[in-house]
Amino acid sequence: MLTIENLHVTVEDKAILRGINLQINPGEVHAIMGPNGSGKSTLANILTGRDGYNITAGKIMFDGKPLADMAPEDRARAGIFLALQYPVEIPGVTNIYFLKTAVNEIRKTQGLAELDAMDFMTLVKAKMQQLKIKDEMLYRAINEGFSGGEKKRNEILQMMLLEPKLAIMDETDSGLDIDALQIISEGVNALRDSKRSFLLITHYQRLLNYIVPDHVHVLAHGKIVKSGGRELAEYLEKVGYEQIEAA
Amino acid sequence: MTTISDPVTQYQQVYDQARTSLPGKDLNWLTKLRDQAYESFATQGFPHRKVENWKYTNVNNLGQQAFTPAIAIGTVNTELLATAQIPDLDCYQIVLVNGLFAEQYSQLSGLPAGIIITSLSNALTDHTEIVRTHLNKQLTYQGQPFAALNTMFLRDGVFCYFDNNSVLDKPLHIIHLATGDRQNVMSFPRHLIVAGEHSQATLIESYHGDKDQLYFNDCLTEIHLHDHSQLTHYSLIEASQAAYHIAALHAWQQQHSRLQAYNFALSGKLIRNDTRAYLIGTHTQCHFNGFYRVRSDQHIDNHLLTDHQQPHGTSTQTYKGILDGNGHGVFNGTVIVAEDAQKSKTQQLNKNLLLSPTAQINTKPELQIFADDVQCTHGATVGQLDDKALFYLRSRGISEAMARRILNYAFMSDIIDNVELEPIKIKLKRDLKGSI
Amino acid sequence: MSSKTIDKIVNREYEHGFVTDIETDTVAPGLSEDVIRMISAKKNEPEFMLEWRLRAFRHWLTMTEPQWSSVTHPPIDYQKISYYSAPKSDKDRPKSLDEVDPKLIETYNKLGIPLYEQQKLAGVAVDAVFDSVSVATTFKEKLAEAGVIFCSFSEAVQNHPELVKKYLGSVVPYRDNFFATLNSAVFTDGSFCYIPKGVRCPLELSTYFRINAANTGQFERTLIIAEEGSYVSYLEGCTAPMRDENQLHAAVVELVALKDAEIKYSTVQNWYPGDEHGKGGIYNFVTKRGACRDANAKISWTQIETGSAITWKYPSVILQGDNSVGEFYSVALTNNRQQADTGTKMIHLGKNTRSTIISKGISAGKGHNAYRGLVRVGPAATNARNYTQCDSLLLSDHCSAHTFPYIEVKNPTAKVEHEASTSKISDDQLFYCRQRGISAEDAVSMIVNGFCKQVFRELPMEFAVEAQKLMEVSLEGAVG
Repeated sequence: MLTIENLHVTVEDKAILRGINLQINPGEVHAIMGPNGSGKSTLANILTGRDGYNITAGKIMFDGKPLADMAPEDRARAGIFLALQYPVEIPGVTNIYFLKTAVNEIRKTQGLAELDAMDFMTLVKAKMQQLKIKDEMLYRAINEGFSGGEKKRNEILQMMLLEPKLAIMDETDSGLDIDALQIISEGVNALRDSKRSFLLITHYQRLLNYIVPDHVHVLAHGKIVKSGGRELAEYLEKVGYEQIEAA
Repeated sequence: MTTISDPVTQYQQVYDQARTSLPGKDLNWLTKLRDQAYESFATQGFPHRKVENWKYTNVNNLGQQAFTPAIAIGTVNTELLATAQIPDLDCYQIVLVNGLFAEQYSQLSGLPAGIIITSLSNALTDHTEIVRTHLNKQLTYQGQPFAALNTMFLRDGVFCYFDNNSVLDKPLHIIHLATGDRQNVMSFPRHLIVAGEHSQATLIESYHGDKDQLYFNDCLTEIHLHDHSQLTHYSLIEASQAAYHIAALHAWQQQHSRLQAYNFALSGKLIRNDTRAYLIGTHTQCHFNGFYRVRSDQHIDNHLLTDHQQPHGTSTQTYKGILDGNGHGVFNGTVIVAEDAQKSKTQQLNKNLLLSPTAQINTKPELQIFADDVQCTHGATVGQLDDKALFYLRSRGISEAMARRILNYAFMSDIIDNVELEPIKIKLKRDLKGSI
Repeated sequence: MSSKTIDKIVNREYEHGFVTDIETDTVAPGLSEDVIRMISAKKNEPEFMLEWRLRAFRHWLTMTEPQWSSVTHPPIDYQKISYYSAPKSDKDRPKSLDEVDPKLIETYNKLGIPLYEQQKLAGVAVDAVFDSVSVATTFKEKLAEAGVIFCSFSEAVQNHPELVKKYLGSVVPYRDNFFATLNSAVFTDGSFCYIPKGVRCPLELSTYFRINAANTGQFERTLIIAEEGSYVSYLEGCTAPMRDENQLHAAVVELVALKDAEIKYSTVQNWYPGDEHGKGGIYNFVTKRGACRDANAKISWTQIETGSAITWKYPSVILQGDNSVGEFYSVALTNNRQQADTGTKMIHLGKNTRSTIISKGISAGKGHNAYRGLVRVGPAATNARNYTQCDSLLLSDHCSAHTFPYIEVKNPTAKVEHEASTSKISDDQLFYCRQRGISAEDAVSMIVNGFCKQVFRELPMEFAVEAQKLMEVSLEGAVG
């Protein structure tokens, strides 16, 4: 589904990713772990097409098509979803309006009919219950005045509604208490199936206790320095990043 | 008191008489400056309320009175001098009497190397070149007739030159005394501050007058901040109850320079401050803080301008006022962000507390933004003490009068707390405690 | 990326720039006492109207154009403007909609105001002003049942001279300002509306203005009187054809709200803004003012200003009555070379008077957008309250946004708060929307819409739809 070959990325002429190779197949859950500044978030941003990141070498293929020249919205419509580490606030635009617009944009590209207000409400309410999100959050402006936990839950709600092929979760566990982490993980696990893939980006292995990955990769200085199964995450927790980096 | 019909003619006549005795009269460039100022003043005329800049401040009364320029120090009121000094402040000191340098009261010994502090009249002969290249360099008179007037009558003041990398180890306190044997004196102190690259200094200007003495101060402080220099400037205005105090502070900031300016307008009949910073380099910081206490028939007008001409500048304007009696306060803060000044951050805030039925405030926090990638906010409030807070204090056994004082004090405390120099903070707290 | 998107969105072409080919009765350009006498005669006005016009004209001759605003334009030659233009059919005015020139009806249809449909479905009574005269007023009967008078100004002069005489100029005196004085001298028509005591107007009243003829000025005058305990919601929409030369629109609107009365006045202004080089477009110099004459009166202005080369208007409220309320909600969008200097005045005179000002300025292209406002609290206005919020959104690096708020307080019990911010659409916000599959264009619309939300929600539904079309954003609230 996703193939990354020898990917080099610069930000403001500074090399951040220096030759990443990664293959994610349908239904797989991959975790990318690494210390601060290792390039984890850059990977998420380059996959989703954020401005300011330049590919200087290598390529990214998604479903057999090169990603590099696609606009962010086209990538989203193709099925790539990013749960942001810092979801942005948009004053005046209600959450529900935003969600409905996004869902219908994606349905349009899939050749599906747009959901009307009633159907959409039914759909969204069910998902919200699952994530224990209060109704009133729908009518507040996007992320405005949301607590850290509410913002993250809102991201997962969007993910559940948009049903992506590849979900990238950038430090979704940061700033969450155990209860919230559990709720979010249940939401994510419910989405797991043989077709949908996940890329979890995280600093700690805590999240991986709840969402168990098939593959774990360690990112350091812009390269994947070690790959393995879920046991790698536990090992990492014990020895710390320095050991791995040094190795 | 003689009244006059046309203030412009009056000032022109005084100028024509005075010009041959003004210092630096042999310096062609200075004469030229004075003549240009003369011309501008004559063209603009004395301000009136139809001019936007003077919409809320009526200077007719000032224009109607005849003042004579001070030419000699005369008797120094040592008692007044003693009250002007700030307790426990270890500082260099310059005393100006009616705008003229009083050497015998000044203490400048032990200045660090690379630093020149002297009177402007001395500097005109001893440091002519530095003065010539900086004095009036970018000053505009448009809308500022009193700046023109100051330049016309420029006689004395303080000259500070901080060489590159120099640090003024103690603050410099410039004490202005309006004291003398005569009434109706006008003085035109002119300060020229040149801060070299990476230099650091703290200056305090304070103004004092005998209780009921009538006089007119027209002050102008010109500050040139070169790359990475840092200056903290205080202005403490404790003019007499009959005094007209019109003061301007104009600063030009080169890249990475930082200006922190405080203005405390505490007494005077009519006070007008024009405080302006031109951010002509990138990454500058400019912070204007002020507090005004307007009482009885006082009129205090603060006009601020922060002009972001280059990118990455950060500026704040934070002014608060407490007004009672028939007092009239004016705040007019302008922030300009030019088209090139992307990534500027500005904050502007003016808060006013009205305590009496006849006090009034006119406030106009103004933004002129020509760039898009900026963060600019402003706010203004006019109000009175929070009834709930008042009740809360009283419910804890505090008398109403005391509760009011506490809350009044709380209203302005952030401005005072922000003051970096402890002795000034203590002095302000002490002085203001009595008046609020 | 982002700036290109924004350009595309704000640079949509003016959709209402068609000219209606209709025979008109237009007087030669020029202004003199004779022209004024002629206008007055054509309209068969009583003597007091002519007198009033002439007084205004004589005063106008002593005035000069104001220079204080932040807008700039070449001098206007007032002798080159034609001060009267009416569709020919005015000679025998239509008795019903069926008699209205079909081309006119078509014009309104192009504007998206099908009169028939509105009459039958929307329940909006429309007084349509085409250039200078009022062409059709719908729903007259239904309103008459409620005792509401809603007619063209000319009709009011003929049929209700006592009301016109009593209230004309009572809020905006003929000496008020250069453009209001000019209007007083030459105004040709407009809307008149009278809501009797205790009546809640059963319909939302609406007027559409259109400048069609070339070289004409439009000087309409609107007068709304809400008697004790009454309520009315009034809507006003404006468009003009595309012409290379500038056209002057100098209207006056006077509102009088008596005890316990409420007037809600909404405007969607989409006059032709000129082309991207600043050629052509309407000069929209308008004086709008309401007086809350008695206790508990309320006047609320809502405006969406997207058109005109220059907009210069300050819908104001004089809060005379105790406990009276004034509101001002505004969205002003300037693009290309458009200039807007707009805001409000809230004059607090009575006790416990309250005012709210929400102003949203959006600047794109080389647009120039200024908020200019005055909040004045007089010595007798005990416990006056004002809250002002003005926000600017900048969509290009060549546009400008200015804020000139004047606050004058002479009463210690007043509470006045002013807040403002200036911002742009952040790259993070755009990316976030696009990551969810929303195109950049839609994302910008969505964010602009969110920015304007506080104002849009004050609009009556009929207008909300038009505002939505104008801003190219869909209104929220459709869901849930």
